[in-house]
Amino acid sequence: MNPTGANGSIAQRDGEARKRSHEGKIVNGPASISDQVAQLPPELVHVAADAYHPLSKLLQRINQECFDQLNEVLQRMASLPVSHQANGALPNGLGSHGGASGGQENAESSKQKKLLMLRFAQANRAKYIKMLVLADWGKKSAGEISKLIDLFAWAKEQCFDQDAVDAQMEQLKLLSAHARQSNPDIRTALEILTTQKAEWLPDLGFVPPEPISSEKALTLLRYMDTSLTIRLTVHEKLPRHLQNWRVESGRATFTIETEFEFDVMSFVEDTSDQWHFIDFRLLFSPAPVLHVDSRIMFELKNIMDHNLAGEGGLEECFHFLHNFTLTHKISVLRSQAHALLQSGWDGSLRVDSPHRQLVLSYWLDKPGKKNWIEIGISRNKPKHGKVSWRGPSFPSLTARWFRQGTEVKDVDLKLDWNNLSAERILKRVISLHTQHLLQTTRQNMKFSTAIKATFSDFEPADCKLEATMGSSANNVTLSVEPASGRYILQPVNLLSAGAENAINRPQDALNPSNVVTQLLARSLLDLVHRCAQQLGWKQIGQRTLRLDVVKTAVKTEVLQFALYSLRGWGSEWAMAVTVDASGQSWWAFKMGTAGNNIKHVEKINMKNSRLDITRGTLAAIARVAVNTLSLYVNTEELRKRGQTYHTSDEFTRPRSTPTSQNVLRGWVLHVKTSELLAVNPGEEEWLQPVMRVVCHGQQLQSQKVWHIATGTMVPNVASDMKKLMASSPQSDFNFSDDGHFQILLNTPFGGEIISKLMSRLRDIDRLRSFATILQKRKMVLQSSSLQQVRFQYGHSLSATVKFEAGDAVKLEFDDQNPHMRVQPFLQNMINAPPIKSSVSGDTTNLDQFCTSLMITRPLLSAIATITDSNTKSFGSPYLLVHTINSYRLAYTNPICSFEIRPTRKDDRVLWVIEDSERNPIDLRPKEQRTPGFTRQENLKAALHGLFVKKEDRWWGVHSGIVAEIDGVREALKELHATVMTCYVEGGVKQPQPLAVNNGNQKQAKAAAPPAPTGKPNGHAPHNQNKAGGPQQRQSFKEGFNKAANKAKAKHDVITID
Amino acid sequence: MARPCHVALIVVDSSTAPVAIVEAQLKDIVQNLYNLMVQSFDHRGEPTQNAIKGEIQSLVQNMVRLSQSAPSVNIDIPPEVTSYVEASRNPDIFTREFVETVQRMNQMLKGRAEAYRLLQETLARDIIDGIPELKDDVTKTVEATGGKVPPPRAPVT
Repeated sequence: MNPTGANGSIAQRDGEARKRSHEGKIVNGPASISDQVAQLPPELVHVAADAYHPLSKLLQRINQECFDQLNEVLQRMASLPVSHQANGALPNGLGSHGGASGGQENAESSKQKKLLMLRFAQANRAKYIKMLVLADWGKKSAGEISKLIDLFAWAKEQCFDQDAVDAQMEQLKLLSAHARQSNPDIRTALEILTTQKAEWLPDLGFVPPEPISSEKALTLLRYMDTSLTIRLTVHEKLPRHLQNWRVESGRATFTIETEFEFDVMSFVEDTSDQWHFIDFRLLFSPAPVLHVDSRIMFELKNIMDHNLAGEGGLEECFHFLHNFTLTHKISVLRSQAHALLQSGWDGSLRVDSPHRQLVLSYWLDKPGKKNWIEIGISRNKPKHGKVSWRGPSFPSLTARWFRQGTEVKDVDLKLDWNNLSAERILKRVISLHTQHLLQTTRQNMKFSTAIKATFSDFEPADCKLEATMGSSANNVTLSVEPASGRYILQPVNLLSAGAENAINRPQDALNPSNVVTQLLARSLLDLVHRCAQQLGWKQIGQRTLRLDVVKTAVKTEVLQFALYSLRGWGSEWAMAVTVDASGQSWWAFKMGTAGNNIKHVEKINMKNSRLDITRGTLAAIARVAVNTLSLYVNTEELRKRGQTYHTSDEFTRPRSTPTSQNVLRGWVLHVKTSELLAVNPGEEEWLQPVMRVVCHGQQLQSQKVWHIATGTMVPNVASDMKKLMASSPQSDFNFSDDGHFQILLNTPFGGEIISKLMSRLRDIDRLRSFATILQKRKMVLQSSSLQQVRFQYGHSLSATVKFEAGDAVKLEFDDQNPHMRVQPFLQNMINAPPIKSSVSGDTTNLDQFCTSLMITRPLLSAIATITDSNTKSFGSPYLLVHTINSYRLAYTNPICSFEIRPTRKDDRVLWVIEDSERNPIDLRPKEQRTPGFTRQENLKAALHGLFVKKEDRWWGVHSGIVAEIDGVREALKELHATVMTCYVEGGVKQPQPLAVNNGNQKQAKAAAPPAPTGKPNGHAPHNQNKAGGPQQRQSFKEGFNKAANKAKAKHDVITID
Repeated sequence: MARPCHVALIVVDSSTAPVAIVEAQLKDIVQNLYNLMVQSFDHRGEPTQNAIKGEIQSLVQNMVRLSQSAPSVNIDIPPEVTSYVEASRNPDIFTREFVETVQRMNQMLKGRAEAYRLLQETLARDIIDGIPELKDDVTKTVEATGGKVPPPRAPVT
């Protein structure tokens, strides 16, 4: 390159500089070759070798390639073995020519081999020839060309630098334009500013129009109005949607509701001239205000004037603007939607706008198919293609809602196209969606009463489902988060958080209805459990008892259950709470022994099933359970006994707060008294027919269940009873003035009271009837209670009747009481089964007892007096009591005996005292049965004398004495005195009795020390008598049954008033 | 380029001998391959087969020799030349075209350099005209870059 250019000069300069820098070395030296060399321009940059292909490497690679191919070809040839063999086997030269018969295949394969070899050789030969060419070229021109390439690279770089310089200069030029200071025409400016015109400016000579006066303008406008009205009414054929027009201020305004209005004007009255577009206003909100002189109006006016000039005229203008407005509405919505994305809806909303549509996808994170709203323009063309009578339809905005990928058609979205709000549309649709979800949930839930659904048409956050189960405090609110579409469960706690997660999880989410139901059930049970623990209820059976067992037992679809063991309930009964869809219910379970089966369930009915679960409620439930169980047990008992009953509920109002609800106190069991208490026929009813039994719960200490049975007595009985009761207050029997009485009964838990009640009633009845009898017999009641009655039946004589458990009645007398002798007979008389008598209805045992007591009182007291007063002979006389109505008074000294028995005469009862001598021998006392026994003569005479006596109240009747009841005392006294006159000092001599008899006597003696014979006289008879009583009783036992029968037979005799 | 490159000459000289060897070897290989073609085309049985065997042996031997002598060849081929040959074109044509291109570029560079010089002069003159205070600086600058300031233009009347 010639050093003529700029570079050349630079190179020169460099050369000089170099010369200067090397001045020290090359000083004074002539211009040598090294100088020349030093003056040369700098060496060109050599293009690095890696930009070239080294021929050696190329050769090696080609070589390698060729070798590989050769190997491959040889391999492939070797893999055609037949041809090889055949070729070898055939004679020389014949293979290719003569082997027509056997070498057909061989020829074929050898041909292939040849072809392979040929191709390989040809291809590689071409390559090597190319190598040859390259080597040739390299030998010839590689060195030169590489220099040229360096040069070319240098020139390229220069060229590039020059281009950069050009660009820089251009930039400089452009930038320097800003550095220019413009040249203001200050002179003209000053001129115009001072004189308002510059003479040197050209004047076009326009004539200014005359100003229009107001009147004139008004006239003009009126004229225009008229002309417009004429044109519109007479000449124009307006389509249906342009019928809404008005004319004012010289312009015709067409209004399309909720969309836009536009003004046009015309200069002519008919259609000969086109309309002129003036103004355009959007009638929806939010909409931009278009200023008349804005750019868009300018553009719009051009288009509109063009449209109006064309065939379509107003119609076309309308269509254009209509489309414009609709599109703009969508644009407004789109920008609103984008604004929403930046507010709270970020991440849950996606805004797409394919074509003219707007697609709002909401709830992006919600699992399942997509949900979206499409807002677009529908052309509204009828499907059949016909134009309706109302004229062609025009496009309108439509919204389509896709819920989980399917369009929801039968819903009115109620979108307001007049006041556009993307958020409102979104909220509206999400509300609908939420409603749909919640409705579905609600329908799936089994109970509908406890659900309160709140829906809002435009606010999704207000849509919620409040489900309550059991107590009102146990509620769950299901709502849907508007932005994300997640279900929300409130209140938030551990259980609900888990449940919420289960509904919302992307894979196999649970059905919200089931979850809510289960959640309610669990939280209800939780609540119950908390209160139960406070009350000290022990949970049992959650291991052993299975849910299906409970389900079958209570026959409801139980969701959850819990069993509690209460204090005092024992192991047999357990309190159970089951939670089903309608809430909790309480049961008492009678458990099987292993704890895995249920023998009986008893529902604890709560009048108000929506009670709040508190400690108080639970305690109340426990009380009710006790009541219910007692009812169950008692009714079972009644049923077993075949008795009729009916129950009713009893409420009490709590005293503390009158507003609080009534608490069910318990039940009332109404039982028939007639069935509880056997009433003697003919006896008056003394109880009102019905008794109420009320359970009063468990006692704290004893854990026994208390019941109060309430009945009412017939008023006259009540007054008697009152007297009876007044004397002895009872702890478990309460009697009030108006005849009501209460019996307090207690049983262990789960025990029945019916039998107890019956026995108590019988006690009362016994007491009552006894009291009546006593009253009738004019006996004085000393004290009375349900257990015992003490009464006085004579002067200083009193008896105590004890009513003990069961039927037995015990009779007790004082030690001194003469009736002590007959106490067993009397007691048996009372306890004997009642015999129905046709003669008299009044034949209760007690009555008989009283009568007998009255009749025998004089007799026995007289005998007691006699035995007490007798000092002469010990143990004589002694009284043998056969029955209550048959006595024998026997003397040992002198030997004699008398039978004493009551007899009836007319309406009186008389005592008959007979000398037993008249009796046959068998019936005599054993002393007189000895053969050869004879009575003392003096005794005979004395008795004979006595037996003919006649007194007021007793009289002799040859063989004995008959005495009135009161007279028997005197009669006996007389008899005793008579007998005692014949007392033989030193004992009576009698013939020896039989050995057997003697033996008997000895036995008797041994058994009874105070036996009449063989004892010294003068001993205190009191003791003897005391001891003798029971002895006599002993010996009487044998003859008792016989005697009792006799006594019964003689009932009529003694029962005389 | 005016200046001869001694170093390049030396390289060329030293590389001549291996190239010649390689060329000879290449020719041998080409001959081998040609023989193979002929033999496989005109196959006459056993002798041909033996001949082929021998030929292949010779080919392999030649190839071995070639690969032994190839590393001593010290010639760099521009990639463009390689592709030329690959497309079976004459690399001498490339040489000629390349020389022409470099010539054209040289001319263009010269023209542009002259144009820049002219622009510099004009600019210097106008700057001096417009802002006479800068005359000394401009002159200094222009002369330092190897140009010279032309005489001022005749003033516009």
